[in-house]
Amino acid sequence: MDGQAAVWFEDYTEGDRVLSPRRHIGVDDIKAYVRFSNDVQTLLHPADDGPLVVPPLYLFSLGVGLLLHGTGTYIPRQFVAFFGFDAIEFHDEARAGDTIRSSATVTELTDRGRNGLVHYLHETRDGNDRLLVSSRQRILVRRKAAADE
Amino acid sequence: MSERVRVGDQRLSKGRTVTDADVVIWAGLVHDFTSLHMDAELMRTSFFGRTIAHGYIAMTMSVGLFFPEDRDFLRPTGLRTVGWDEVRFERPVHVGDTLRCRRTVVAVTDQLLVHRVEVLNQDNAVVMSGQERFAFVV
Repeated sequence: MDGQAAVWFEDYTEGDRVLSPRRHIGVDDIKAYVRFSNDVQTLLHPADDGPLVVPPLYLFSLGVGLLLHGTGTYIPRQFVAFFGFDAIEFHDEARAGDTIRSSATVTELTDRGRNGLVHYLHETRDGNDRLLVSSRQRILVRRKAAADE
Repeated sequence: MSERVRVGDQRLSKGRTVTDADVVIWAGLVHDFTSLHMDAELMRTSFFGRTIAHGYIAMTMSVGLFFPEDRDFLRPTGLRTVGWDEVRFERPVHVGDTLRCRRTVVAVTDQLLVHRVEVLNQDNAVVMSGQERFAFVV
């Protein structure tokens, strides 16, 4: 799939990888997220005087959102549904001024009748390749073979 | 910590109504302007009949809805979130829906705290669920 658009379930192969662009996270990003979410911990109750901590759910959500702009196809045209996230792990903090980049690697492909499940491992890392967040997600995608029947 | 927090402790948050502004602001925050969320004309003929809000909005509200009233329940001193399990977006959320969050303590030790998280809509239907894990900061 690398370098070309996936459309159907059959277009995926285990090991396919989507790599996002890099994204700097500034103080304004964190403040905008806090205003939106009311998750005020980092602004009103910081643990120290260092750069603002990026709220974990913002770090996770932004990391996943960046994949939409990455190489390859994260969500294909024949996408059917999200199955949610089986696990999300916050390995380390990100702080204002960090630059992040995400990847999504296909770890498993499972037939589900007329559809198939694409299993992704997401990883979001900083500019020093420090792992910040990882998650496991499954998405349901139409099978071309079923559509051709 | 286990002396102060017990399995079965529960909080139900105040409500928040999802607006068009929420969807647009969230799209900008995470760079997700997918048609599913943004194109009312396209979605009018879809299975859903209208746009749906990003599932992450409900997940995000599962934290923010507890500030400031239940901050100590949500973020006990010395603990930080280390992860989530079995996150499911069970029903679509639409503009106009009013969401609340119910958190229940399902495990507590000297090292770890686990909340069962359920975001409910105005009909008390679960739209998002999962388990959030907290651990002591080392």
